[in-house]
Amino acid sequence: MSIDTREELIDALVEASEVEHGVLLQYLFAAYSLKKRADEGLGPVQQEKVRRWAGALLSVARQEMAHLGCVCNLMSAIGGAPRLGRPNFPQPADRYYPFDFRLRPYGDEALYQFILFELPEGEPPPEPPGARVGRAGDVVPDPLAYEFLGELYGKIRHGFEVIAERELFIGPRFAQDTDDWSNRFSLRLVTDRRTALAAIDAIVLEGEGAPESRTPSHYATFLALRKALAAEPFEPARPVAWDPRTRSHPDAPDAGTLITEPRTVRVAELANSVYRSMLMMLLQYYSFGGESPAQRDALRMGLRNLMSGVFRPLAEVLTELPVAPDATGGTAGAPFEIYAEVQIATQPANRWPILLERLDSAADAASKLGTELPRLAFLGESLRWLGHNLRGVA
Amino acid sequence: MTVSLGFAGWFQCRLATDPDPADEPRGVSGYVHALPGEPDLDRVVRFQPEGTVPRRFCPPIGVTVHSVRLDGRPQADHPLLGAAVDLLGTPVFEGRNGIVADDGFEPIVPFHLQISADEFRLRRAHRDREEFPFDDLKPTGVQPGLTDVVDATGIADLADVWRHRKDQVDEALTHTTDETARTALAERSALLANTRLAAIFPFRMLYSIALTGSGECHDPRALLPGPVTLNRPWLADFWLGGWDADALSGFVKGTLQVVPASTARVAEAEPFAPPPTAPRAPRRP
Repeated sequence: MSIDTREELIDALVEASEVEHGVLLQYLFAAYSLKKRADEGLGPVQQEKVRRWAGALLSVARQEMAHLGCVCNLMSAIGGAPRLGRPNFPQPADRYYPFDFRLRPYGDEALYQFILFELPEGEPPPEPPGARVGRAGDVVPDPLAYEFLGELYGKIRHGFEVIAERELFIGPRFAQDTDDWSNRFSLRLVTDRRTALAAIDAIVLEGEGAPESRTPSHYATFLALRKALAAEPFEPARPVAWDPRTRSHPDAPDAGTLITEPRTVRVAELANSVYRSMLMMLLQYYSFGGESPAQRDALRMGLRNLMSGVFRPLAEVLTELPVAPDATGGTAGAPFEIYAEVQIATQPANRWPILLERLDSAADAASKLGTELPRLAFLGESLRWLGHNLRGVA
Repeated sequence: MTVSLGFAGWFQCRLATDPDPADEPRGVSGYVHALPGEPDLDRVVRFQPEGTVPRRFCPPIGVTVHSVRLDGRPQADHPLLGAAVDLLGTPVFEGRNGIVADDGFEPIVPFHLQISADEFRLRRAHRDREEFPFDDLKPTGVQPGLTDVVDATGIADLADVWRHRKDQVDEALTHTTDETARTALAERSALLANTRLAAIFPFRMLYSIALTGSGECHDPRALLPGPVTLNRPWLADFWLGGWDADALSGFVKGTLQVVPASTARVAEAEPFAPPPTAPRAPRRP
């Protein structure tokens, strides 16, 4: 199938949004699962190695966030709406995407899958882990018919090349995100074919590297991490269960790991709530319903605050909490569950009260849990203060 | 009469940097890491060596009184010269990934300053209870001030210091056999090679904090000209700068101005006396 209409291009960008979103969550989940402390059985040297691995993986995940933002810009440039929904985990290959989507702790299986995600065209697939059968053979084409991220972007690139430029770029420039999120994270403005193709090429280059040199790229990073892991005799990850969840979901009926320990459930639900608030803020940020520059600034800052200052610590706390009351089944992790379709109010004025209610509620929950888990008391305070900041511009 | 105590010295603060969470214990994504064998990062601003984690070839931590002035007149050989200046109550840089303040504008919370020498003790809190958003504890600005930093630290070019320190670290690495120590030294060597991180050395965070909370002046040997009043604010004006990302230390320089009770009584008797100086509102460049 080739893309040669706006509708097909929008559909493909929806797919790219979901895939980038799902992939970056898998990278984050694996990074958060890594051990940190000496009392977790890491020697000082191992501690340093694990820290470097986590840093490399988080760095790739941050670039994936930028890719997601870039896809939102591409979508906006041709008149589409941002897409931040996605099916819950786990998802087997073929149901939604040509590869399986699972939340795995850091290890050979996770890294193998990550290499497959980023595999450049023409490169041989990696050796499957242990006795497991490789996923590449399981891939069944969906209507978009791609096997790897680079291939999906190749098809999207073709769409931007063949659809008449004058008709395609109808989105307003001001609706795009070109703000500096940090010194390592800024996005491209897409206004025409040239800038669209450059944005896509940059995404593919970061993922796959150039044919003459795969370094630096996500692909090369994962190859190096897998090789480094294979050379080490120790277990770098906490005993985190695969695909933790707080309930069953119609869009993900396969067995994940149901969290049953009551306190862990509450922390996981809090993480899901904060995650949903972040998605709502992203949706508001990219939907652009007439928010003032100060409000856009506040949304961007608030998102940064939530991602680094609240969500990540919550996710890390979960990797040390038991899944089950009898402590069997390992520990949990951030489930990234979406309980219902993520929406924002059509009237911009209504978006803020809803967001602030959510943050207040999360702050209360974190403070309550903080009586038993001190790190959550700290996060409750941060959430309350963030709400205070946003009230100032709402 | 006003008493002005000038202080200066190196402090240490071991805190994770963006995009790590503020309470990240080891440092993963930012440039600050707890090295192998070191305790967790804790964000605490330490003016005195107790609780610091010194790294080899780095300047020693310690903030002391270097000048005493009475009504602006320097007091040579004053017994308070060399007195220890400390922050009480485990103060932290309270940035919280931008929720409280952006990089460079972090308040120090709580702010409770103490000057002590032998039996002498002078201490006062900014407030007895600090509350978000801590506006009057935030820096009034961040400014480049290479001349001031050079004068205070004696370091004209931190990148140059780092090159020399890297040689020392690399030399130590060649005859260190302990694997933990070797890993720590190797990580430092890599950081010291990245002299871009030395570029923030000339920047100063400017603070001006009126201390109005509870305090104490214990002065059995009458080192100050009379008892000090708590009825009026004390003013701490200082800057933090000269950040050394390898040592995890910076330089602080400033003054604490206090008012002896006798002066305060005169001022309070004047019905048209101006109110105490209010803390300046934070402003950004």
